[in-house]
Amino acid sequence: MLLVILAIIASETAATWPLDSVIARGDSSIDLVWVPESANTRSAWYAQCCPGDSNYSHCDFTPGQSYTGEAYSYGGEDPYYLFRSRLARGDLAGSHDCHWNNCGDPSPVVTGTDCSGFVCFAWNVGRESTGGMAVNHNYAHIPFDSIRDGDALVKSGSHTVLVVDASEYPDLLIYESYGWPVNGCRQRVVTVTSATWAGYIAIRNPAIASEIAAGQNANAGVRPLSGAEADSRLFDLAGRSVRGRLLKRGNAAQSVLIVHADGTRSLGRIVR
Amino acid sequence: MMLRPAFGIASVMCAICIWAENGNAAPSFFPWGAEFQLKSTENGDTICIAAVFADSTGIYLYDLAQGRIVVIDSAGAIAARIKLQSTGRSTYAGDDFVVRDGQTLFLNTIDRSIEVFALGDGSHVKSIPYPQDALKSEPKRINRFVNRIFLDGDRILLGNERRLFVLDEGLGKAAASFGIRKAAASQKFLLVNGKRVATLVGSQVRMNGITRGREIATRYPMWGKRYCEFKGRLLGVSLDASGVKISEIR
Repeated sequence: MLLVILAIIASETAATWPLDSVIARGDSSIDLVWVPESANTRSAWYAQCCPGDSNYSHCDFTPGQSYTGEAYSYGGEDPYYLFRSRLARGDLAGSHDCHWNNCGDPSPVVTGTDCSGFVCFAWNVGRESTGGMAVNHNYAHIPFDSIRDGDALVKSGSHTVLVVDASEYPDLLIYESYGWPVNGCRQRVVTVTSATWAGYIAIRNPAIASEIAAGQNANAGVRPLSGAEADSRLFDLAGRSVRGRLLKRGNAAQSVLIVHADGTRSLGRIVR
Repeated sequence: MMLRPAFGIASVMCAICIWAENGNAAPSFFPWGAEFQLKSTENGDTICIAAVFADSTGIYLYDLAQGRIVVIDSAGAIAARIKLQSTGRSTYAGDDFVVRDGQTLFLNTIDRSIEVFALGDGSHVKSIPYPQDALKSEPKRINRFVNRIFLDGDRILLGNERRLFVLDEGLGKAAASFGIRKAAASQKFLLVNGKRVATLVGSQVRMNGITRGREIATRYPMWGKRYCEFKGRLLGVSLDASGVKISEIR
């Protein structure tokens, strides 16, 4: 029985999490459009936790105004869909380290996500602090010039971001949950060789790395398709038939990169 | 209302404009603490000036840390400080901006709008949507992201360091007649000012294809453009350990 349990645990550990799903979770977090109501922005809690602070003695957001991107909340880890439902329930939107320091974990009354909550959600792993991510032996530390889509940059005790497009290295398109003054999930282009990123390490979740071999910026491990392969039937990773042009084939059996009619690319499977 | 008389402020600030040359040189240096403060964010970033723009009137610095525009005159002194009305994200108005017809136009890349402020008093005038799909045919995600705004005459150019399109403000779409302007391989757009285009090739800054000098390094990041053209001179802004520096590229 113990062996069976261990086998199940091992299979779960080795499970892959498609790069497309990582990016899709990131997209959903930065694209989320929401409008706070007065219940989500009540000042009393903020004023109580950070009295006299010009930035933090009130909610970051204005009732009735439209925002894009899930709210930043220090210590928060709510996925975008939970953020939406908690707003509807009347929970507060967003918080900062000041509130945590003075009032403790705000998660019971405040919804949103911080930087590590966001990256862990995109990676489909349990939430960790930036310090935990930096020393987690499950994650490979990689040189900056080997950064690929789906990797993360992390600085212990400070910040972490998700790498979404590394094809123009050292310029990277990143997704992140950013605190003051932005106060939410966003995308940004950074030059990772600049002094700002000197204290960061690049980490790779192996559950994603196994799929990246045929991923969007993965030129290593892929080869041009033969004519016969180009006529094959294409499926997405959920097994649904899709239309598109097959671009490259990865090392993993049947793993291919599909170019869709609108020019977007995704990982898929091939059946001849 | 933060706009202040130009010459009174100028007389005070000239003392720290260590590179002012004969009254017609804008390059300036502002040590930390007097006019500008570096602010650390809870994400470990250090922010202050986020973007720069220039026209015949002066050089405009977007002070993200304090949510304001600081105008530098041709003598290299501070001519005005304009506090920007908050649009709902604290001191953040956008990643990049331009000045046109007495208004500042900020590119808010988070809520994906152009936020227009009156230059006189910093009041928020309106929001203009911009198309989200103008660069959707680009295979690389990094080239689809819109995080730069330039002016070509009165026309607004949007895009990024590798792809640009003209905004049809009436339709809120990319102007079809212009198409997508692509930077050559291994080049990046640093500045578009009408027909004058500054690009980065390796570490060399070129203006209309002619090498002008080396790229200026900055210790602390800026979110928008770091280069501007003022009275025919190509200038770059950098933030280092000692302060805000405006240097000529030559």
